[in-house]
Amino acid sequence: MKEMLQYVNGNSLFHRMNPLTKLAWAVLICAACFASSSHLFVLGLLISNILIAYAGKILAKAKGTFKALFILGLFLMLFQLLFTNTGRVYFYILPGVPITDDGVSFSLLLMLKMMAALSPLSLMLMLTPMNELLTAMVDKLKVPYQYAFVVITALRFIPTFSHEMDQIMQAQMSRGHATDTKNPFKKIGMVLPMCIPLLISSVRKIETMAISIETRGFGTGPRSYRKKLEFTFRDMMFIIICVAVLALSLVLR
Amino acid sequence: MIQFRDLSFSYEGSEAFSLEKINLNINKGEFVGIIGPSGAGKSTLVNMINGVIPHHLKGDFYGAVLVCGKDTVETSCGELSHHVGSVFQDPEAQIISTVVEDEIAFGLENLNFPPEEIECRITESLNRAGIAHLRHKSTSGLSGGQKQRVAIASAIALRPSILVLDEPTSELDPAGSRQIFETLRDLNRDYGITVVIVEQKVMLLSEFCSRLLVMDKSRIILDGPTRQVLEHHDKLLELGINCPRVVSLIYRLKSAELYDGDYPVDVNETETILRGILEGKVNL
Amino acid sequence: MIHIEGLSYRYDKKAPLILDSIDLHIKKGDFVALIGQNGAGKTTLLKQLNGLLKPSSGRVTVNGLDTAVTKTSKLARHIGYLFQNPDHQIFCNTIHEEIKFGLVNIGCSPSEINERIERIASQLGLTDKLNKNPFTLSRGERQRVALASVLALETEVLVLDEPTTGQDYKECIEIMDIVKDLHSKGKTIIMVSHDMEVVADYAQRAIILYQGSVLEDGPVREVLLKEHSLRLAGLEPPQTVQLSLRFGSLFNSVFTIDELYERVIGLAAPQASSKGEQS
Repeated sequence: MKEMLQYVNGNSLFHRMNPLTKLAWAVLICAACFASSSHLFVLGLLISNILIAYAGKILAKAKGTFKALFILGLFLMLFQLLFTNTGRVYFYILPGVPITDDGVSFSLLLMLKMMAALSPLSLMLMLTPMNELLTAMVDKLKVPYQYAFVVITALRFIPTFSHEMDQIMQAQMSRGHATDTKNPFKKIGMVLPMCIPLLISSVRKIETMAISIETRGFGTGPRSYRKKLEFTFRDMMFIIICVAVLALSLVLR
Repeated sequence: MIQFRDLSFSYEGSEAFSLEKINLNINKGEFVGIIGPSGAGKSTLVNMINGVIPHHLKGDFYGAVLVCGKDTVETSCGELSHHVGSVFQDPEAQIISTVVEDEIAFGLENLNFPPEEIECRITESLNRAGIAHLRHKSTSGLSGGQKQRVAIASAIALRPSILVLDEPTSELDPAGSRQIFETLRDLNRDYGITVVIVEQKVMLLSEFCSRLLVMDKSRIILDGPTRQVLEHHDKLLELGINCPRVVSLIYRLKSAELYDGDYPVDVNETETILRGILEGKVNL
Repeated sequence: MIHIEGLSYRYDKKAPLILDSIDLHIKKGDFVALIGQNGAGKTTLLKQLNGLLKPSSGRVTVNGLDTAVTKTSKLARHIGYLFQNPDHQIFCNTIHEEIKFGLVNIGCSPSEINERIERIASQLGLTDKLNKNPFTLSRGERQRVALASVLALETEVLVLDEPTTGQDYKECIEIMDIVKDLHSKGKTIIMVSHDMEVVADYAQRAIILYQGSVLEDGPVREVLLKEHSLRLAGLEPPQTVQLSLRFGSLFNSVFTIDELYERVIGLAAPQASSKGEQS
């Protein structure tokens, strides 16, 4: 889970692109996916995401993302399948609950959309160092530094807290707390012995972080930015392609 | 360089004093170790030097703390960060960037240094901390010891004349701990940085620090050159401090009147002492 | 008791081996210290013992139970595992509830629960603190609370992952003396520690792990005198051992401060040797 949001070191074409370009890509592709009703189009976008992950040499790490989105998509697919009554009925799975051709079509589309629309966001985070994203947000998007910092730092700490959570779960399991049950409903009920240690651990770490950044001059005044983020011809072209894709999606309704 | 004048402090919401009537002078270039049982006030003391108290952690503050001539109550944390760098116990929580060089740049960017200067200082800090090879590495893949060295490099990027550390080796293995101390020794010896470090690993600390402060129950009990402080063997044991074993050995030999010189701080010195004692009596 | 046969472990198929063909047998009543550099696989090996991690190949059996097919929560009745950071376990409002938690998990009756809590509290000096909130205590005291909650499960084996990290010397000795006492009463102890002095003072058997394999395994006196192996594994022998080794056969492998002192006295001033040889 934590790998979905963590930067993967590299020097590919996509790594070197301006973070705003990648952000634009994520937003535009997401919009294009939701705008379109064509299975093939959305599938095409999903494949393009996978290819970009491959080109960025992060495909191995990105597998987790695609898998998680697939599972999420599967759930939604099931929901859509059960609640769509229109179209030609294939069979009844339960009395009064038909599986129709519309249902199959919509649910499949929904799953593809889920995967294709949300994967660019995760891929973008894997291809962009946090610092660059921060600089882009403050410099170009005019987000106040403190807010941008909060967002970026929250992302950065997700893997840390995830690791803490693992340790806590293991510690409680070692005391006979049966979190290793396969029953998902039981799992949800086992929450309290995990939450409190996690909360306390998180607060402690954040306190240390807060003190650490204050001793390095955080929040004392105007701030400089080390990296000048360039907007190259390549960035321009890529954004134009993405806008074209969005336009195409609206046309191919 | 660092002056405590009649300093007493109690945390907000607490009636007990965490520090009581502290009078202390630390001079430029010293390498000071602070030891003592938990709850003695060691962390509170170093947090006074970097301005975390009273600016971040509040409480009742009596007396004064002067760092490079500046009163810490009247000088902001940001201003003090030019003079005092800080490193804390948790390697994970101090690092906020995903790439090492970005972490070093953090403080410099906060204080509005121009980009060219930042590049220059990143190189300088990484070299001084001995981690130039980690420059482009992702911070998440580093070992605990490497993370702490990144924290040190990030702190010294602002070229502070003082570096305070609060149990930086607590979560590191012996090899990692020794590396931290060697880095600190180099910074102290080659660049004149005054080091003030709180530690529980007294054996390792004694090999590196020139002066030891022993704290207990919010006061400074002992203060002097390392060897002299270690002479108070019984007092240290009473306070529950882990006296280096070699010191305990020589203490007993002194009591048996077999030796009458200075205390050793490491195995090499102890070996020399033992050879001196056994000379002529045994075929070495 | 605990049998480890050909144990190898890696996180997933592409990851490098963290544990490499380990064969180990731990007998009832052993006091084992597992030492090695960070990354050598010590904690990974410990987690194999109570099923938190399952073998990639090979077998681990605890009292006849195969850890690969037994749930950790079941193995908790045999292996008490004390984690390095007590704050990863503590979540209740009082020490009493904290100790009760594990006992409820393993299915103890209410009367048994109260009895055990009282027993454990008195053993660890927590009787008058049972209604206190654990979060108001110092790190060392919290470690004692965590230890109490693990000991209450009355397992045969106690596994300790760096029990002395983050504490001052006094707290460290307090915990280790409790562990020593438990060992003398028959508990099997397996401990990971970086503190060579603690290992030398308390453990009976030492195992050096190096790059996922067992480098040395034997009585602690013998293993800690193998300077070459220790240095290879990134460890330093305790100070007394370092000294002793520098004088070779003259000091004839003395190990503790007392032995070193007696040896020096014996060599330097035989007539002053005070162990009553003449009486």
